[in-house]
Amino acid sequence: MWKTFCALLCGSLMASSVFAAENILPYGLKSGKPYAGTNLNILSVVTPQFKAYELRDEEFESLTGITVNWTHIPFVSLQEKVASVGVAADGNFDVVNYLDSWGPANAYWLQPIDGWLKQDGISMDRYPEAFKKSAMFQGETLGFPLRAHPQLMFYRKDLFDKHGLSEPKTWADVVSAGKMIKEKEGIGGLACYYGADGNRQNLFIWLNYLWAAGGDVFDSQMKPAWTTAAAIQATKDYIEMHTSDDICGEGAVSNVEQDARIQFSQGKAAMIPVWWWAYSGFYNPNQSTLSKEQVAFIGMPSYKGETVTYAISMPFSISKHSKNQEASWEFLKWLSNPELDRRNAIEREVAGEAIVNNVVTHKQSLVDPEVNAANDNIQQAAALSLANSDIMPQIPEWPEIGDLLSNAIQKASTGGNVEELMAEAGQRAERILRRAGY
Amino acid sequence: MRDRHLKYLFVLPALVLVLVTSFWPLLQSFWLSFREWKLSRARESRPLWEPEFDGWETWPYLLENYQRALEDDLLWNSVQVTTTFMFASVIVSVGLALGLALLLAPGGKFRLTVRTLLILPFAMSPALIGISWRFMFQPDFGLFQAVFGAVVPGLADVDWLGDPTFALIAIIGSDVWHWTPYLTLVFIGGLANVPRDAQEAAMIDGASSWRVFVDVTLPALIPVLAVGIILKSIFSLKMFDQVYMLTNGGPGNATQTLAHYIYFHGFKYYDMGYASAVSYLLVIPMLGLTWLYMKLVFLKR
Repeated sequence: MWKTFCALLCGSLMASSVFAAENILPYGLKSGKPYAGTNLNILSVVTPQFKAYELRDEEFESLTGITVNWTHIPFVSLQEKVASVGVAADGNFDVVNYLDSWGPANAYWLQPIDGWLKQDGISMDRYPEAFKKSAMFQGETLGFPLRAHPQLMFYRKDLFDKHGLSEPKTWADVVSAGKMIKEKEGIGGLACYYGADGNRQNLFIWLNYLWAAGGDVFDSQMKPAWTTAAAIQATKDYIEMHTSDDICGEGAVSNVEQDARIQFSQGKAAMIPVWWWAYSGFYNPNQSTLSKEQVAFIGMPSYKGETVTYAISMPFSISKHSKNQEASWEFLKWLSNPELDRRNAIEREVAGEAIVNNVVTHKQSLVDPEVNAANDNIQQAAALSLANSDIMPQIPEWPEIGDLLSNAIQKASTGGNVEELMAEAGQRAERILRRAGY
Repeated sequence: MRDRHLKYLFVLPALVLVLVTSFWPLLQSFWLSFREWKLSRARESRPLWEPEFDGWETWPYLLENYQRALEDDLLWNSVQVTTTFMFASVIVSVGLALGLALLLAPGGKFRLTVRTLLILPFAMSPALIGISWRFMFQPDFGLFQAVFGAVVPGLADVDWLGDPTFALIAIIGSDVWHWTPYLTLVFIGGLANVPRDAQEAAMIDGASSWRVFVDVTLPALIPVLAVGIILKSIFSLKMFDQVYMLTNGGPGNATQTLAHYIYFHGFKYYDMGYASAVSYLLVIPMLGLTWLYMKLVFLKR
């Protein structure tokens, strides 16, 4: 009798543990498929990284019973689309993807996720500080920085070797190497982009100079701080790469980042400071005349002995108007899990489609040996770049103020007076900030 | 009687469509121009002036968006750019179109083929023209850069889109290329209506071709020219696509037209109330030109 009781007890314990094991889902997903049958609509930018995520949806769908529809929008149209989703407030999109600097202006309809993070024991410390900050507004976490970029300096290894140049570790190195290459090779030393494009791309490198000089965009009183002596000098040095050092490639004043990338890819410039995601394009035979052996990269150069880089991200957030917020959270848990982040940068084929992606956002992925081995150690360089990095100011008025700066920088690159232009931008910015109640 | 009513029934769907897609947004944006609607703060607008809270004597608050616009020197900069662009593009495209029309008006297979081909630039989307022209002005690989550099060596090193003056010239050039063919076809139509006998009588009297053109052809063509000029002016006032694609208003704000200014404030800075107010400021010259246009068209009839 006792033996039979023990056997039954053991059997039930084993069965229950097997049952429990069957219900422990990876990535902290809820067991029992409580949201099965829910359909989620995702709005995201067009990129191979997210295309690969979409191709992996099957795993999420089989674990949760939730189906996912992706709408991919080209970056140039994304801001208008995101704004229209917010205004429509109909919950047609459950999860939206946006550029970090648009976050504050859309924060009123994005659902903070701090409660869920706490509930599921997910720490945002798994991301580098700049990435983590980029998904926050006024102390609340709005989403996950699933696509995020550090800056790197790419350069022509073959030309640097040919002329006995060492890798450009400082902006002074960039200027001297740029001058030599322009003189000897007849191509631009640096692919510059001073063009004001409405996305403030010509501030990307300027911020490196500004921050390294100890300056900032705003002071603690939220007043423009780019007119201090140190900031003006940094701005002058940034502009002078074109106006007096003359190291830039053709069209520096009107070029936007994409033009500069094309210039470098087509062998018309020897260096380009740009986001890491651009790497694969630099040796893709469909886009570039360069081979992988010709392209090398290094962390961003230092200015006056300091390196502070600018980082950018494109977070994913849940809409407050979504009728499927809990299911959306399940989706974000799966989408943002470190293992997927890692796999997405290692596997070169997803569901039969070739995907090249080197973008990872978790600290552990940046130092992962397998990730690095699959991507020429670009993540290691990125980790260094992110060690001391920051993001653009997170205020709703930033697009307008940033454009004032962006226009001032472009005008300065045509030979305008830096002090006057930056002071004028400062006065205008103060008016905007005053109007907004700062 | 029944037939008379039936025709209104046929027009009704189009009328409803126009009311919903044009008149309603027009009224809505006029209302918004007196309100604050920042998409960066909330999805709904709020009044700039509330008599119960602000008091009746503060009614000018209602005009805050308009006042702000008139005090913004960047807006005046865009007014200046738009005006310069309008005059230059109208003068050049009408002048070229008139010349081409005179060349192509007589018949002949070759001329007819050219006339047919002329419609192609006008059929192209302005955004596509903008992006193609941007590529052609690309300093490293651009066609224009190479051609201008070869013809006028002084222009070889010009960064067209990076220089305030040349950038505006580039935008005017792309617009002239787009519009000249259409205006040419309009003027060819106008030339066909010039009385041949008056031209022949002048020639028999010994008038030179130039005198015939100045004294006979041009006066007869004036109504068509006027319509062409006004129509082109209206389209020039709302110039956006090529500016957005070619220079994005730069360098700095050197080529920022009013339409571009409005777009940025509305859709990039999410300030819909202010953008609506500036749009209504743009409506003032448009109304004047439209009134002139209507007057000319009805006068012609």
